[in-house]
Amino acid sequence: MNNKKIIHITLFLAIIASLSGGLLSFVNSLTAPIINENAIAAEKVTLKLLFPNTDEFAPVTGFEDETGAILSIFEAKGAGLAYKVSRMGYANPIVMMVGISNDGKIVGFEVLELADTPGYGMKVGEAPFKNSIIGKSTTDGLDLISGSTISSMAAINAINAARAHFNNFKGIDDDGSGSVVTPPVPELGRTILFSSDEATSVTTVVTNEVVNGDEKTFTVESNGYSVLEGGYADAKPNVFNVTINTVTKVIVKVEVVEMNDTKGIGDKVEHEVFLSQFVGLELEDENSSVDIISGVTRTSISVIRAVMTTRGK
Amino acid sequence: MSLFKNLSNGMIKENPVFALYLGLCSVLAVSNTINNALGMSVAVIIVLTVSNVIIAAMRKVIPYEIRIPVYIVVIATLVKIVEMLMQAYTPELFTALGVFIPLIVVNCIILGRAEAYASKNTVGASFIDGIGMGLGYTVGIFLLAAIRQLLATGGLNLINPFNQFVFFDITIIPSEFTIPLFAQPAGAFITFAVLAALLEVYKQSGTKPAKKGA
Amino acid sequence: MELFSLFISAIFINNIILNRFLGMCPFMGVSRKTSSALGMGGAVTFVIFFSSIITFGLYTYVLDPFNLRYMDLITFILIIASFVQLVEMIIKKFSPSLYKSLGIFLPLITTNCAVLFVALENIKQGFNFTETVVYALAVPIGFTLVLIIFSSIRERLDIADVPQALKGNPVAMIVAAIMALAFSGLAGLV
Repeated sequence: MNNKKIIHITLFLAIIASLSGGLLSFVNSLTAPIINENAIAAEKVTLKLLFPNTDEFAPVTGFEDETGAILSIFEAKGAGLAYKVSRMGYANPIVMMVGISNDGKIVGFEVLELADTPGYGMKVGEAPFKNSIIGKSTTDGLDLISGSTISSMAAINAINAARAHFNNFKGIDDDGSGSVVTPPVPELGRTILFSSDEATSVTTVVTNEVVNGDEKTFTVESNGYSVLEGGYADAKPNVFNVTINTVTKVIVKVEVVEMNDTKGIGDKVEHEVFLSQFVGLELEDENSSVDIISGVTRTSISVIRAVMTTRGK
Repeated sequence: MSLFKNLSNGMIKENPVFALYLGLCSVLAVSNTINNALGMSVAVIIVLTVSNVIIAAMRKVIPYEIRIPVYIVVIATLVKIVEMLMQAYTPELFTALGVFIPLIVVNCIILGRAEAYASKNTVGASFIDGIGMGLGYTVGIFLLAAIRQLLATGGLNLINPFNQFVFFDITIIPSEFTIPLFAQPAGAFITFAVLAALLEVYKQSGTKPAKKGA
Repeated sequence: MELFSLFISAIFINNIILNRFLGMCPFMGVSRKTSSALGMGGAVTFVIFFSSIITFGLYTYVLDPFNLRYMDLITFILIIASFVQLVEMIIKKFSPSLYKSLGIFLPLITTNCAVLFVALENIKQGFNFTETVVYALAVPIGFTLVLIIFSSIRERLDIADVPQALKGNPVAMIVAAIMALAFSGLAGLV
C-alpha cells in the first residue's frame, strides 16, 4: 500500500468518525432532556413529598456507591438531594426515599415498598420510626426498632448509605457515630411445646387488659432470669404485651415492654426472629410450640409463660 | 430483479430468519410478545434500510480495505440514534427490549446485507432490499411471537408505544390450557425449529404459488 | 462469595446461549465437530475477556467522566472488531489448521452478540473491575461448555436418521431446546 492510499484511508476514517460523533452528539442533546424528564416523572410524587417547596428536580447520573443500596439520586434544585435506596428486610426488599437538605439534615423519609411481618417489620413504615429519622443530621446515630431489628437495621443501613454519599459529596467528616452496629441474629435452640410443664407452670401477673374489637392485649408481668435465678436484690419481672384474637384464639403478636433480665443476653428475645414465631399460633393447641433462644432459656420461657397466661381469658 | 421478486425474495425464499438463520439472538429473545416483536422489527427495518441506503450511496468512495469498519461505524451510529430516540419517546418499549436494542448493531442481517448487497447495488435497489429483508425479519419474529404468546398466555395484545394506548387485548385460550413452556427459552427453540422445518418442507415441495417469470 | 455465585450463575443459570439466546451464529455453524467447537470457544473467551477489560476501562475513565456515554456503542464495537482482527492474525500464524476449520466464523466473532453483550452488561450492572473480570471469564466458559456438549451431540446426529425437513438446523434447535430445559433445572443452584 503506497503512502497516498494510507492517507486516503486515514482521512476517510477520520471524516466518518467525526461525522458520526457529531451526529450522535446532536441527537443526544435532543433526547437527553426528555430522558431525564421521564426518569423524574416516575418519582415526582415522592420527590414532592420530600421537598414540597421545590419544583425543579434533576437526576444525578454516575454516582459512586459501594454499598449497592442507592438506586438513584435526584437533586432538588436549591434544596438538597433525594436518595432512592433499597435493602433486604426480613423477607422482602424495602425501598425507601430519603431527602437530605443542603445543610445536612434529613428532611424527608418515605417508604415506597415494604412487605414485612405485620407488627414487626412493618413498623419501618409507621410514624414513630419515621419521626425518629426526620430531623437527624447526616452524622447522628439512628435508633433501631426493638423487635424489628432486621428490618429497621436494613432501613438504617440504607439511610446511612445515602448519608455516606451526601457526606462524601459535601466533604463532611463522619466520625462513625451514625453507623449501626450489627447485632447478631440470635440462634434458636430447643423447642418448647405449649402443653409442656415449663410453659404452663406460671408465675405471672396480668396488669392490664385492652380490648380492641376481637382482639385483646394483655400486659403481663412474667418472672425471668433475674427473679428466678439471678437472685439480685432488686430483680424485677419482665413485662410483655400479648395480643390475641379472642374469637379464633390465635396469637396476633407479642411485644416486649420492659426487659429486666441480663443486658445483652435477655434482651435477645426482643429480636423478631424469636417473637415472630408466636404470630399465628393457636393458643389452645397442645402441639403449638416455639424454639427458645440458645443460652437465653429463662428469659425465653418467661415470654412463653406470659403468652400462656392469656389462655382461657 | 423485478421489484416484487426482490421484495418477496427477502420475505420467503431467502427469509433472513428461517432460511438464512441470521439475527437469531434477537428473534428468539424478543419474541415473547407480539408487542415487543413489532417494536423490534420497526427498529430493525429502519436501521437496515437507512444503512443500506447510506452504504449504497457511499459504495464508490469507501476504500475496500476498511469497508467493514466503515459499515460498522455507520450501523452503530444509526443504532445508537434509534436507541436514544426510543429511550426518549417510547420508554416502556425501550425497557422491554432492553439490551437487544444496542445489540441490533451485531445483528448479522444488517452487516451481511451491507456487504453482500448494498456495497454492490444502487441506492434504490438497496433501499428495496432493506425493506424486503426487514419485512422478512418482521414476518419471522412476528410469527414466532404470536405463537409463543398465544400458547404461553392464551391471548394477544398490542399497545401504542408512544402513549401506551391499548389497541387490542384479546384472550383466546382459557388460562387452564396455556403452556407456560413457550414463554421460556426451551419453548422458543422448539417453536423456531418447527417453523424452520415447515419452511424447509415448503421449499422442497416444489408447489410454490405461481410467480411471474424472471 | 458473591463473586462465586456471579461466576456460577453466569455459566449455568443464565447461560449465554441456552438462557439469553446470545452467540447463536457460531452455535449453529461451528458446532459440528468437537475440535472446532473447542477452538471457537477458546477464541471467543480470549476476545470477550480482553475486550471487556478494555471497554470497561474506556467507559470508566474516558466516556463517563467526560459525559460521552452515548459514544459507548460505537467505541465498544470498534474495539471488539479490532480485537477480533488481532485474534485472527494470531490464529492464522500459530495454527493454520484451526484457522481453516473455523473459516468465516472467525471474523464473525465481531458480530457475536455475546461479545458486545458482556461489554454492555458490565456497564449496565455497575460492576467494578473484579466483577467485570469474573463475568467476562464466566460467560465465555458457559458458551464453550454448551458448544462442546452440542458438538458431541451433533456428531452423532449427523449419522442418525433424521426426517428430511428437520435435517440440519431445525433438529439442532430441538436439541438446543432440550438442553435449555436441562439447564433450567439448575436454577435453584445459587
